[in-house]
Amino acid sequence: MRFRRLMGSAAPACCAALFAVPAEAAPCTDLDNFVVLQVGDTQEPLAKQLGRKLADDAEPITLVYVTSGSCTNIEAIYTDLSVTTTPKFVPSSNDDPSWDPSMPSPECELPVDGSGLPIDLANSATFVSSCTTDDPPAGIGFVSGPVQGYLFVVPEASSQTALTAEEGYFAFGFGEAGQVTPWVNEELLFIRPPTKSTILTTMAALDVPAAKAKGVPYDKSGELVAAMQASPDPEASIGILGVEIYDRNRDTLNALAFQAFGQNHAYYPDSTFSATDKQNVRDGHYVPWAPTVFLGEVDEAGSFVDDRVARIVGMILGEDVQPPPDPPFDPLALVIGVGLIPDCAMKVTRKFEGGDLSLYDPATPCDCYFLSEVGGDVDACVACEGDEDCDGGACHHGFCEAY
Amino acid sequence: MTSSIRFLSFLALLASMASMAGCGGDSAGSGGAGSGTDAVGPAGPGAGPTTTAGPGTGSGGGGGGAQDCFENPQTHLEIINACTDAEAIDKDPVLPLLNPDGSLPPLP
Repeated sequence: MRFRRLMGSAAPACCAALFAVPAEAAPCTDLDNFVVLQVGDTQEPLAKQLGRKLADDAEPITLVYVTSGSCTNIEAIYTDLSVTTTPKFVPSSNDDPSWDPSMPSPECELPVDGSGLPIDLANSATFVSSCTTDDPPAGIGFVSGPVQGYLFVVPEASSQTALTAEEGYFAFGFGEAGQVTPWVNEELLFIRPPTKSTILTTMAALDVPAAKAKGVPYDKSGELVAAMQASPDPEASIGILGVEIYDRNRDTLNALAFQAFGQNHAYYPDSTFSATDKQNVRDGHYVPWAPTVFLGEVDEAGSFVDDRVARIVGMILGEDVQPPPDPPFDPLALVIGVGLIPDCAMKVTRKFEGGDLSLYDPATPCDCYFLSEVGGDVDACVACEGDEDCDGGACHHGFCEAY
Repeated sequence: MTSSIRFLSFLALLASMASMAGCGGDSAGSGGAGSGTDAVGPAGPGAGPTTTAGPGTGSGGGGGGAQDCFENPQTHLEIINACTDAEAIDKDPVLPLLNPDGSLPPLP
């Protein structure tokens, strides 16, 4: 059983003197009410955005985090591993007013005794069943979070605009032998290691096991982006990315529309190449996606034991949390803003990686709110301040939504 | 996805391609020796399951061929082929390793 850690659990002054740290690196255990996360690197933008708000909250929480592959993260929380690589943390506005979430997060120092930091909250950016079919160990549970889209991308200089599942099957499943022009150079197939959600979900859409995918694996999404940007042959290059990573690199990379097995046309995740509305993920025209999953210590009822973890996850899920954010903000806007799709905006669902889609009717839909946040068409939506404005319907996030 | 499912999916794809070929216009597969890629209009609605790929600049479907989009999708294949106003791309890649019956060979 882990114990809740609060501010003031600093290393003794003697140790700080003995183990000098870089000028701006503080011991993680000195950070204000810290919570340790191990998340997929596609989820770092959300960790930074939400972390800043939490650090500035009237009841501040400091997110200390490391990024790793989804399967690695699941294994870590299942086997009670600790963080032993240098973590990052999200500073408050008081601590670092010049920092913003577009900047790299500062690092903090692990405990000097080598014990590492126990993980409070782990994240997988795809189905847990993609990594393990084992049931969670006693005391560990998980909930599904917002949906994450995944993309096949090419350098901006490429003329390619679409990928069919059949093409992808041959390109990534056979490599050069697949004879899919222009993607026949396996050195220019930019992939991820098989523990990463990005390859698990994209390859599932091609019916290629992630471990069999041809190409050069890059450990971090940022490394893959940099390698693609520097590709010596843009036309022959193709890679895979989480949508929110792509959204931050649209000036140098192009999304490929994707045509799934049995589909008549190829579609982008968004309604058009340049849109950011995730329309096709939401309505099922774009197939490579998976839910994010959040894992942590739970009680017998399945509720997160750590109130701070419950509050963080509740915010990500768009639930009412206690205490509410102070100063107030809508966490769902942050989720949408980083390119994720809250469950309430989805119209389709699936049960496992690459599984068939089925229609989905969320309990509290938020279509209009989602569209308002992504610059979509809200002409048919009715703004409201309360249920009384909705003619028998319900007012949710400022819009009358269909309940 | 099993080989049989892949094969059925491929048949569905062939059906849609046959449908589009019968439509004329900027049909898929116009890219000559390489792969052909065409941006098409949205897969727009019709009366029930429709054979049109949509109004405006859309291509594909028409001519009484296989239905191109579904107005009231229920199944997976209908959902991914539902009528939509989204930008659609048609592509007809050359795939030398396809089996003669159009199915996919096993991975090496």
